[in-house]
Amino acid sequence: MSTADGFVRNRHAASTLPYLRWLVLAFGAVAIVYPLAVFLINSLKTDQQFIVDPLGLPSYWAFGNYVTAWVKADMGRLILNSLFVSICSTALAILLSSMLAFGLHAYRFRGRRAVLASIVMMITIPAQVYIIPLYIIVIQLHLINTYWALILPYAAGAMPLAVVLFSNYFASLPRELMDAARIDGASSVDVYWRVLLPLARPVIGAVTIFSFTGAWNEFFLALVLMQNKDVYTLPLGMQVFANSAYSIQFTLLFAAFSISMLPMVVVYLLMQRQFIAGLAGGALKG
Amino acid sequence: MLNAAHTAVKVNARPIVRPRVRRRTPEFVLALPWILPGMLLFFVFVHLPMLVQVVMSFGPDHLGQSFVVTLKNYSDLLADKKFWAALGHNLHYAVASVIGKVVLSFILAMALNGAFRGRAFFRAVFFLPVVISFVAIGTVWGFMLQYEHGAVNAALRALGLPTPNWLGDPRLAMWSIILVDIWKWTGFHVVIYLAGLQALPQEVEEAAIVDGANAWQRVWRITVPLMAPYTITNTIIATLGAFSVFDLVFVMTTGGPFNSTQVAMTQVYLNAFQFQRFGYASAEATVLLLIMGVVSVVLLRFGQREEAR
Repeated sequence: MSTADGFVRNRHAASTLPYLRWLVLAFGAVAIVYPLAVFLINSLKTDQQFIVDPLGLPSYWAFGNYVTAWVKADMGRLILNSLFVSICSTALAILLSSMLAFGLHAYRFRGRRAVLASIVMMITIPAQVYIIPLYIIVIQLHLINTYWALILPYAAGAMPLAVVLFSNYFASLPRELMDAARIDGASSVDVYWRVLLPLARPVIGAVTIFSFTGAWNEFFLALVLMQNKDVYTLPLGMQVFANSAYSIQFTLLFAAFSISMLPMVVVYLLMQRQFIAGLAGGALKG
Repeated sequence: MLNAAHTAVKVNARPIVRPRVRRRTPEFVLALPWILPGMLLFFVFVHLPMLVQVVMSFGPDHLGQSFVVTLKNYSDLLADKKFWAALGHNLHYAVASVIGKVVLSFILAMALNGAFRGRAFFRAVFFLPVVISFVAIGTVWGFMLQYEHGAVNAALRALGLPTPNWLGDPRLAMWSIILVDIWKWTGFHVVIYLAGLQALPQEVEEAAIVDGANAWQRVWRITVPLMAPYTITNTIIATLGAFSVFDLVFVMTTGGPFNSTQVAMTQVYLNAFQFQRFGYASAEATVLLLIMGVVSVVLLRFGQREEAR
């Protein structure tokens, strides 16, 4: 290929590429937003309006759907349950993972690699593939239909990635940091709580995001382990609501699901940078 | 080296930090209070269930029956056409969703690469479905694809095109679910590719321009091969997701129509929690676990070899 030909082609490419880029980006963005927007708009229609015209704007804005949905689906309770389970499992995962990583970092003993490996090797295995014995264990421990039936497995499920992140972070800190604190007479608890944990704030942030989001959205374990309406989490409660007597009141369902999506979407939009780093960062480091 | 330095500091520190306790207590014992709580939780809720599951798969079908070691569950499994059909659906799901996600996310990441206004906005939009639960997404798309009142068919009808029964036609239902799965996860894979593209050495691209390579050649001969480790990461994640899929199927079709969307996890769920066949379902889940273990080991090895090149 001649150089001249190459230059001509490059200039040609340089002039069409920006348009191609915007075309691709716009197509992608519309493909993502459109279904959600249609869903949201339909949640503000009456059933008749939806059936006649599923694509248009509502002629009468049925905000009442939201009030009815909130009450009929008992959404306050579902949200509080999910919030409690997600917060507790996240806090537990952070505490136990950071302690474990600290123990393996601060003390040298035979078998510490084996301990780390036994946890990290489970990173690709989701809890649902051992749901049957998990169900039996939860029954044996008398945890069935309690929040702990979800909090403990969720925390354990978040541990492999959390331990990897904490371990790598502690290992990246200068060794002298710990030794200096020790010389100053700090106990190991002080070193952990006052020196390493405050420094590990970025890791705590990442673990909080992937652990909380995972717990908030989790469905399968909740489906198997929660058989009492009082302890339903949000995804489970919504699924049950969608299959209840209200399953034929379309726009009411739309409103209920819109409410259920709203908290996470709002938090995500406010902190999208941290969310993207927290949720995709683990895959890059693992 | 590090260890030597560490001991040196310790020798200095000895007179200051309680010498006797330090010398007598082995490091292992000191570490125990830190690692034991986490290990206990992980053992009870991860290691133990995995071990118990393997044991149960060689045991009786129903809980409460006396335990006799048997291969019956596995011989039943070999003859169970439903289970193999379900695994076949997982394979279909894996191949189609991996190709869809990898190709689409690569294109979108290429379009997003570089510094320009609106980049953060598009990235945030593409990533949005990742934070929404499968239950909500399955419901949103269930109504989008609904035969009579769905938005997709309403649009097709307005254009005078045929309106397929997306979730009711056994030939289409699996494809519809795969499409929704691609919709949810593409933004996630975009971010992985973007990280790779940003780590790409600028000089290679510049050298290729000097040598007269056109844009297409640069993408195909330089970017794609250099992105191989990220492609493997994306493939691993998407493949494992495809074999453990449950939520989307359960919400959108519950395995129907005519079992055309049954997957391994819906079979495990049905056999264990609808038919109480715990032994048999454990065998199914153990096979699935084995597949996922093999898939992740094989792909990880492959990834390591790629990186070594």
